[in-house]
Amino acid sequence: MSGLCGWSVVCLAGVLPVAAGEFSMRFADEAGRPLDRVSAHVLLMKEDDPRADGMEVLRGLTKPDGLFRFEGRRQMTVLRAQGDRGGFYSVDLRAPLRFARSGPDGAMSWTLTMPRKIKPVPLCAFRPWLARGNGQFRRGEWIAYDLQVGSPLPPFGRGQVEDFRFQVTATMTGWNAPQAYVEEQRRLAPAKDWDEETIRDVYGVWQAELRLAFPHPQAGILRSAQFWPYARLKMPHAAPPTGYRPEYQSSQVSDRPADEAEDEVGFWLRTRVKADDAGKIVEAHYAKIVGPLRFTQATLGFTYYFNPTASERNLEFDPRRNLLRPPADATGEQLSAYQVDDP
Amino acid sequence: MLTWVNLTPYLAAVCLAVGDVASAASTPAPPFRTVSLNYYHPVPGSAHEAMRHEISDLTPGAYVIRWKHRMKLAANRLPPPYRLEVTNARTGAVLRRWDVPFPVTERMTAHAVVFCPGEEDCRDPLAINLVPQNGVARAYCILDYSLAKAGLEVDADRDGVIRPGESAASRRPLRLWVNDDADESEWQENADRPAAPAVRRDADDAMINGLRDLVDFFPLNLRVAELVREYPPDEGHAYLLRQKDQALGFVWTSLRPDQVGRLHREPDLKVFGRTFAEGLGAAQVEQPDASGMVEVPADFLRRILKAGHGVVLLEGRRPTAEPLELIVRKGGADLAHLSVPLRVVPVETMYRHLDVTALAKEAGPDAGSARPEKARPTEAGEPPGLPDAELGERWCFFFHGYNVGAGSARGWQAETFKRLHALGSRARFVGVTWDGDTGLDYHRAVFQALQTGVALPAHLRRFAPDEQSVVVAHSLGNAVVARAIQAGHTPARYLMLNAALPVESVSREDATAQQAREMTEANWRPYERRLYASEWWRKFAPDDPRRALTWAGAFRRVKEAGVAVNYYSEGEDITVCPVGMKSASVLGAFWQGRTLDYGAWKTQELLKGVDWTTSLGSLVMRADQAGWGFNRAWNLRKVTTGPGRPEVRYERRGPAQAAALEDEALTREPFFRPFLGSVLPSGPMPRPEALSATAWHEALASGIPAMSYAIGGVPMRGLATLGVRPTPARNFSLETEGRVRDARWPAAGHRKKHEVGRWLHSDFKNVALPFVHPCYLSMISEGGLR
Repeated sequence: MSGLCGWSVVCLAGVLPVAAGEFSMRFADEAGRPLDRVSAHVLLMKEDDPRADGMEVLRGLTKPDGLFRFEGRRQMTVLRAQGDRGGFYSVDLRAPLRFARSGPDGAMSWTLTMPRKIKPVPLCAFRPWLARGNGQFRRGEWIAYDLQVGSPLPPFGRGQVEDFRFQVTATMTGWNAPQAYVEEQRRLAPAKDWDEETIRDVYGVWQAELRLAFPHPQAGILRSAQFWPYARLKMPHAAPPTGYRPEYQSSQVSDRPADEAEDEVGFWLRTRVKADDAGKIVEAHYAKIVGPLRFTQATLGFTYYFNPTASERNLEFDPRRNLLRPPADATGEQLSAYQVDDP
Repeated sequence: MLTWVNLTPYLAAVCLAVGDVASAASTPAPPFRTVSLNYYHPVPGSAHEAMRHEISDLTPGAYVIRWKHRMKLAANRLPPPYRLEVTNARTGAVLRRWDVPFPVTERMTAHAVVFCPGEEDCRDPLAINLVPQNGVARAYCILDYSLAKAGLEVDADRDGVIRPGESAASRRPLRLWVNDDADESEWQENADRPAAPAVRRDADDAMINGLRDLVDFFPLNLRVAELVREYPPDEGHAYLLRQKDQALGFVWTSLRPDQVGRLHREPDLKVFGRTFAEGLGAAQVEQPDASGMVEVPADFLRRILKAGHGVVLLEGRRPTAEPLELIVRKGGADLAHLSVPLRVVPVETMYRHLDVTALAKEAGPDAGSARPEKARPTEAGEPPGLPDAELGERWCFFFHGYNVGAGSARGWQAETFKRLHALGSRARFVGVTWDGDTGLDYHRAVFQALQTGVALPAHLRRFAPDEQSVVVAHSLGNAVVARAIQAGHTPARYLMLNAALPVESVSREDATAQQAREMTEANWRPYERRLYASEWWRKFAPDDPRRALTWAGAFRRVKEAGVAVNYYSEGEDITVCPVGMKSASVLGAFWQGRTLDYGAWKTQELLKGVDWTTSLGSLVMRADQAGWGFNRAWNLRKVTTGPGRPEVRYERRGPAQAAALEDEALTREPFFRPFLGSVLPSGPMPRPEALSATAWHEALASGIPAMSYAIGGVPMRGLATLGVRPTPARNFSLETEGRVRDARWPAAGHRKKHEVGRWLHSDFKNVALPFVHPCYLSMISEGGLR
């Protein structure tokens, strides 16, 4: 008898939609103030049921407390959430599970920041891809970079003013493939035409280290305390006035799987600093790097926005007014979640 | 070819010797051509003007000779006699002569005559002479002489622009295929097989069968405005398009010749119907009469007169080698005649075919399994419908995906060829049919793809050397190609369309931790990752063959060769890996209904190793080893005591108990369900001497779960970050780059919630070309196919 009852419960649980707690999304501006009248749009999928009929789309407006609440049926998962309101940068959150906070009974809540549109300005926006293959990178050497021109300084490029310099040092710690495989590739195209350095770059396991240095002690780099990867504007509008450090260092091992979370970083830069005799800054330029400084033993790539107006810390970019035209010798492609035409 | 001379009178002799730029694509030109135009006074001291135009490279066709004239100093008001004649400039023989064809008055008036030289006439330079009769006192004055060729122009280089005089190169006909597939809308799945049995043919009706049908139409420009001016239709002149074998249908449009590319680039083209400004639905395909004739309608001729051009779309109805002609006829007499050489052929005679279905059958465990339909046999010779001389040096091999039968494969190949060809590809196309038609058993298809791929390089090299090969593969066809590349084939370019391959197989760096978490089956999530079948390989020494039992780096040469372009779509339905899908538990219910649906690729990965009590899907797949199954050998004996007899049960170890298992023990007895004996012997395993290719393929196909998403749904950063040398490898977003921007997207086939507006798994073929042409233009550009 008890066995029969047990079966009944199982079957019902498997068939009937069962409320499984409340989901809520809270929208707030960059200062944390709740936003009402945000048009929210959520796509849910029933776990374990890949059929389209197992999907649900919810729409609604947030209340004055900034919340959009909805009931989730049993085993529903949020695939995507979007928010939109005039005067603010929209948000589009994909695969948001890792943003979720589980509450009792499986309830989940999110807080999404929707930065205001304040004053978009023209900037020099670019995504350089400096690689040994295009002659703009040499392992072990300090290479100066001009953010306004979008090029390293000679002999690696056509830059004129050093905003910062970088150096990648690397050690090969082994091969990333069996020796027999590497030897076979040496006989096949395209590796048969490669020099030994290229062979080692491609088939080696490398421990690499990136260093950044700045030509003035008060210039430097600062990791942004806030980063909103789902928002069109991913960092605060303006660079902070203080906190810059004249050096930066990062290391990595090739052949290691990437992690999306590592991409969710942003940096502020202060460059071209002029100071008076007392050491007080009288002029400086500001820039932001959205996303990581991604490097290997043979490459460096990043996405940046440079304000050519001296002492102007506003870095809210107007994508229709990019002041930088990519130099003709800029080559290659670096895939990035962060596009130059984002604000 | 256009010859148009328009020079001011009183210009002294003009002699040109110029390279033949205008006709570079047509007749093999002499090293130089000569043109001379002389206005002169035939009698020294007289006021008469005469004109002589010599030209060396006229081609047969219809020409309109135009000029203006008047008389001066005509005291007696009698018009001066004059003649117009065309002569052989070398012998002086008169080919055609008009004596005072038009009256001369004191007012400047414009006139024209039509002249149609034949092949014989054009062997020598010709001279056109306007000559007043000597000895008459009144002055004959000439102005604005010109010679214009009327012609039938085609988009010979298929760049979307018909340039003045553009025609197929010498002795090369305009080539059309017979429109014998069954298009009918903007989106279709199975409509492209040429001459499919028991299916209506598009050419059999009098309409354009939806937007997908437009790829089967070819533009032709009637550059006959001068003819129409001289032979106006309202004076009884009839303009007849004739193709003796009734092999063509005709659609009148308002397309401009310099914009015929819109045909394949604009989803909402409005150039059809009575007003020439209506959409596709208003288009009428004019069918020829019993003599193969269609009369050009008067309103279309008026458009030609006004606009200077008239673009007609041609539809191939049946094979022919007879030319297309334009005849101007009045009262039974043919006054002018133009023609264009033509071949209408079955589309499959325009490209080669490679049948490699036997490669999987011979090696696989189901050797010799009968397929309901045999594949088109391998045809490696020069295609009679499109000779190699008309193409470039690049070869384009196309591989279809999973669950494509031999008949469907012909449709995939034909449609892909047509689209590339229509947009200008000059590659030697080879459709490849492999055996991925395994019904519901996807894992078997993966196995057969890998078996085919390892043997493939030698077959491809029978056609072309690696460096001239461009390989295009869709979905699981990428398993065939990637395996071939791993086996040593190095194509010039490899274009991956919605690839059904795990990211880690090509680029380990792109297989993120989050992807691994999401690809883990629900029952395994509490367990340590080192227990997974996907991680087992790590427990062995570098030279142990079992190190190969992983997807990670299985096709690493794809990246190392730097030749791949990843055409991916985040809106994919099949290779998308939905977050939250943790098992394949529901799959069986609809898999058996043959519905491949959202996240199907991830689902089949989650199916590996599970038994039917977990997923009915395992009933139809080779999912009976490794994967997400548990090894009962590690179950714990559990004795329960109660009121009755003690009960002995064996229970799976929990996560904490499994965590205590040491790696050394796991090398001999894995925690996951053991591999089949055909891969590795079961039970405590000694180190195998080697792992055969077949065993490796079988393990990957049905035993080793991917721990990363499918390439078809995500960009691969690792493709481009090699960076040690310039590499053309890159990602191409089909959703943002591959389709027309700011245009609507077909509703058909995209009605479900997750489908609306998205680029789905097979949309590169299913959606009509005008929507997705940027994808094909990219393929042509990336592959160097033009």
